[in-house]
Amino acid sequence: MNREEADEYLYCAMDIGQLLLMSGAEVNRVEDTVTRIMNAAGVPDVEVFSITSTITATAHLGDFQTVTQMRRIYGVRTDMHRIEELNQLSRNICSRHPSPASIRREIAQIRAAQPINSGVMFLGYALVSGSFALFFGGDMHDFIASALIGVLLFFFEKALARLTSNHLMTALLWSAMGGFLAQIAVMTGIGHHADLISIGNIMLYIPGVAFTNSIRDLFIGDTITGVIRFLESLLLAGIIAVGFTISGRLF
Amino acid sequence: MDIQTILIQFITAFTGCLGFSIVFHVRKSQWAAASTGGVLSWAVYLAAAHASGDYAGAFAGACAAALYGEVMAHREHAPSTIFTVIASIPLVPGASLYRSADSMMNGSPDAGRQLGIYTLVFAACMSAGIVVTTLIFRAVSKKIRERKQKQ
Repeated sequence: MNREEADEYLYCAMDIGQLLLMSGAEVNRVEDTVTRIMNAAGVPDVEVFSITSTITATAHLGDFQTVTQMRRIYGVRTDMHRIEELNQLSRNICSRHPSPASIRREIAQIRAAQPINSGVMFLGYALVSGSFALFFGGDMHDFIASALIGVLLFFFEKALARLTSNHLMTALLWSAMGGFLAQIAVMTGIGHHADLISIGNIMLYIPGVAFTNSIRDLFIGDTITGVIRFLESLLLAGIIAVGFTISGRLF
Repeated sequence: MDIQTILIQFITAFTGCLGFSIVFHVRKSQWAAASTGGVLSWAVYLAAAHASGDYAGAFAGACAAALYGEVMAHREHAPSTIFTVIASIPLVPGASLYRSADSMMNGSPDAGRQLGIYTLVFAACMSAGIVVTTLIFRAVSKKIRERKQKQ
C-alpha cells in the first residue's frame, strides 16, 4: 500500500472515529474501530490513542514510512442510532473492503441524516421528567407539573443554544429556570412538592451516566478519559445545584 | 416498602427509560426492549439491596443491566451500549449526585460529604458490575464460538 492510499483509508477511519465520539461512544470502541478499519485496509501495524476530545493515529507502512492524522472533537450529543449505523458501517468495511470513495459516501449519508427529530424529542423530556418525579415519591400532580416543565425546558434549552455555546453557562441558566418554574407550579397549585418536581427535571441534565462511565473508564485503563469525565461531571453537578439554589433563594 | 410503591417504581422506571430512549435517539424498534432492561435492573437492585445493602444492590443491578445489554446486542446485532446504558438509568446515582452538591452548597457540608462518598461508592460498585459482567460474557461467548468453529 502506498502512502496516498493509506492516507485516504486513515481519513475515513478517523471520520468514523470522530463521529462516534461526537455521538457519545466509549473511547475504547473508537480506538478499536479505527484499528480494525486500518487492519482491514491492509495496514497491520497501527497505533491509535483517543480521549474524549481528540483522536491520534499513526499507520506504519514499512521502510520508515508512516502516516499520522489527528482529530479534535467539540461537543458530544448522545445519539445511539448514529453509533449503531457507524458500527454497522465499520463491520461492512472489515468484511467487504470497499474503496475509500464509497466509504466516504456512506459517511456523508450518516452525517446528513437528521440527528434527532425535535418533534418527538420534547415528548422524551416530558416522559423523563414526569416519570422520575413519580419514581422518587411524587404524586400525580407532581408528575404533570414536572412533565410540563420538562417541555418548557426543552424549548428554553433550544433558545439558550442560540445565545451561548458554553455548556456550563447553559446548565446554570437551564437549572435556574427549572427551579423557578417548579416554584411557580407549586404556587399555582399545579404541583405539590417543588423538590420532587425538580428532581424529575434534574434527571435530564445531571451527568449520572457520565459519572458512572467515568469510573468504568478508570477501571478498564482509559485513565485520562476517566479523570476528565469525572471532573466534568462533578463540575456540572455543582453548577446545576447552584442554578436550583439561586431560584430557590428568590422565593 | 409496600407493593404499591414497588409497582409505581417499575412502571415509572419503564416510562423513564422510554423517555431516555427518545432523548438518546435509540431506534424506535428498540425502545420497548431497552426500557424493559431498566425494569429488570431495578428489580434486581431492589432484591439485592433488600438482602445485603445498597452497594450490593448497585453491583447486582449493574450486572443485570450489562448482561441484558450483551444478550440484546447479540439478538439485535447492535452495540451493547444502547441497551446497557438505558437499562442502567434507574440505578445511575444522578439524584444523589445532585443532592450531594446541593447539600454542600446549602449549609450542610457534612451531609454533602457523606452523600458524595455514597454516590462515589455506588457508582464504583455499578462500574465494577458492568465491567466484570461484560468481560466474563465476552470471554465465554468467544470460547463458545471457538468450540463451534472446531466442530
